[in-house]
Amino acid sequence: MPFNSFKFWFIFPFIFGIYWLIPAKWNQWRKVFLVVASYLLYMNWKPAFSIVLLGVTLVTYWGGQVLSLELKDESLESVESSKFKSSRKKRLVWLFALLGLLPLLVFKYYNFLNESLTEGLAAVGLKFALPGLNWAVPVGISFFTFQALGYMLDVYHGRVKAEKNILDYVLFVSFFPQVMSGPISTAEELMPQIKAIHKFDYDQSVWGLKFLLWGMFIKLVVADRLGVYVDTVYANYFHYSGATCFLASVFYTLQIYCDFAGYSLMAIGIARTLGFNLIDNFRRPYLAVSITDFWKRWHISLTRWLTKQVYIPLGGSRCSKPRTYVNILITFLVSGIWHGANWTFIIWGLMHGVLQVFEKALGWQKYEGTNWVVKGIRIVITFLLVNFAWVFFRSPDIESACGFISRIFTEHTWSVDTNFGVNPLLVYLPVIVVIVKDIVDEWFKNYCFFNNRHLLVRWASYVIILISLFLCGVFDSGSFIYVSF
Amino acid sequence: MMKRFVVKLSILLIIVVVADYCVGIIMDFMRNNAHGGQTYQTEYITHHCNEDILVMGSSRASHHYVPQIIENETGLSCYNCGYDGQGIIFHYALLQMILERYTPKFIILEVSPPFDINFSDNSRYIKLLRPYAYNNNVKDVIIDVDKSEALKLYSNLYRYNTYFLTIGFDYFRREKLSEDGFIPNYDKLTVTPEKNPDFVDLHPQDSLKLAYLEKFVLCCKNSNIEVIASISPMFTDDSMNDVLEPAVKILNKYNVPIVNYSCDAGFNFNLSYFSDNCHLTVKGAELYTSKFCSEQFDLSVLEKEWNNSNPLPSQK
Repeated sequence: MPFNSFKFWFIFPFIFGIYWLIPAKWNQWRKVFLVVASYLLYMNWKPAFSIVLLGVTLVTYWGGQVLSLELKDESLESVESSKFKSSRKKRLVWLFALLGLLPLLVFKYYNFLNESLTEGLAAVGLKFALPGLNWAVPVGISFFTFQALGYMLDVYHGRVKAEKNILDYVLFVSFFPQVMSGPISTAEELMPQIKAIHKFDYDQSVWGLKFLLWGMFIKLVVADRLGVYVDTVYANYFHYSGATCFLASVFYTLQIYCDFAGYSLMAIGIARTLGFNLIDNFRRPYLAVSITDFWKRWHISLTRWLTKQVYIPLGGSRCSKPRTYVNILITFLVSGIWHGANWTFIIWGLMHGVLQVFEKALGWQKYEGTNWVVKGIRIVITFLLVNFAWVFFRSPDIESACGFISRIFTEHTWSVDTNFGVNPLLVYLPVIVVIVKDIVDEWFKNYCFFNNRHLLVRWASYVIILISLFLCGVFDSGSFIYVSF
Repeated sequence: MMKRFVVKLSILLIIVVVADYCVGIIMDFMRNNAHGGQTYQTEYITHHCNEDILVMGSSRASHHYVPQIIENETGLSCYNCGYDGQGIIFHYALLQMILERYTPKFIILEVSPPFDINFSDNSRYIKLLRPYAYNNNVKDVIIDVDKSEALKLYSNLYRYNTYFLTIGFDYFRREKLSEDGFIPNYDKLTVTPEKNPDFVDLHPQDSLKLAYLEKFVLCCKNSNIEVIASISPMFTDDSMNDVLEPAVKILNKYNVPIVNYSCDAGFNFNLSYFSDNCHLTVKGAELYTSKFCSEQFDLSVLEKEWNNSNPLPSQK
């Protein structure tokens, strides 16, 4: 059930109330309650999806147990037999990883692989076609699969101990604030919190509500409003001027940020009100001074996962320069594939990889100077590069993406279509508020609205944001963009 | 700790509820007293209009029927209640509000497949109605489209969602969109447009829209209002018979006359009459309204029918 749905806001106060009404000494029942709530909310999408969620949970739990037994035996064996065990362990981790990834591969990538193979063979004159699958992809499958897989790989590498308590593990994978779109937590950070006995913490809950409020604002008032315009222009870009296409591309860049960061903030906020701390997924990404910097600020939990489970095992940066560049490209290729079964995502991932390789080769990945002009120029250039990469991410196919970009550069009627369907102020003002807030949070922390030392400013911010939610929010829009990943 | 949290949260909610109440009062006042723009026009239709003939439908109604010509041709007063992007659900609610004050004699209902027949998200049709949710008939329509609105409508802020700026501007604005509801299109086509698939292609039917079409017709019949369903000219040679069939069935059931000018030879493919593939220019609209009146309004017959069903006190 998405956090922006009316149903969720009707149900959540009950979840919050019942959770805190269960006495702390009955912690086990609190966890049972959270698991039941998580599964019921997840089943609201489609009850059958929960079988996939449970399947991935059980396979990775079992994998963790088996791998931990192997680790125990290994420490007792001689060197010879240890080598044998190690290769067996490797085979086992591959087996369990493939089993855990199987639903993701089948639901998300089967059709793509099938079509790509059929087209590839057709290009060389061979006719071969497997039947396509007409199944809906379970919501958040990439997120919970990566979280569960991350746990198993952490057990394999000895970074965490295998979890014995199945209830704790089921909650770790299915915890409702994060199961649909992350943040992707590690067992190291979330498991101790699941095991801990939580006492209601006023400050933590207030922070949770602040996150929730801001997340709602940027999702409902900014992302969904921009989405109306973006969808119209992207669907018929060939009818619009280059300037309109460019404006739509910038709006999508802002939309996807506000949509995904909005979701993440709501997830973090909801978890905080229940006493859990989830990783902060965004840190003002469009104020990055390079693409490398951008990835330290955008979807931080995925970047961390890919760094830990893909980039470092490949050798990371502790190898020759060319090898490091290849490692970066492979990591971003995986990132692209993770986002979706489409060549547009693969190109998007590779674009980011190539840009990072260039930055690394030229030593442009960091800027620690104090020259504001240079910093400003770098921020604008990074924003534009990210913006053009998003065109591939948003477009249904490569042809449309190329057509869209070429329209921006070749269609020179500088008239901009500002038919937003509502008063343009409702589009521009919220965007300005988001930009100002990010700038304040980045460089002028003392002036933060929500964390201001003056009570009046803080409360005025809450009230104004709440009122704008009702007055300007889009309440009948669809779900979050990243939920489909 | 929890007590403090609940108390502070309650204070915040009370402040928002008070703000919600105050904004509601201000917005209601501004809407009631708007001098121009769309807000004034809606207010006029719902609270002041008393014309004999009303034109209802989407932008194809507001741009295609010139009340002045209809008045000249029929001798009856006329107002164009057409609305850009609105369909039968919206117009049914408008009709309910109008009928609380008076009963018009005739309604010309412009039928547009995307807004009255084809399946789509109907929530767009209730957005403009929310400020009028104080009226139970309107509220019923809104809730019929989306059940969750029953709770949402308790908020005044929500009722004015996205329209508060328009209402604010319209309160200070002096110029009206139009004196008689007709919005002339001055842009002419310069190149042949592509066909509009929303109008001419077959789409899945929307049972809710069709149910409201039936309710609309039934309501008119019960109130002795003569309805003429019409499809004004399009830039197409397609008569749209397949697309219109579900609506035609309902209209036939209640003996409502249907006139289809969608591919009328007098207009078709004449660039100067169209501003795009489904909207007439002011020149096209004037020509069409004259043609419509001369061919469809047999005044003597209609007046006789009207008088029979609504006898004057002296005739009783």
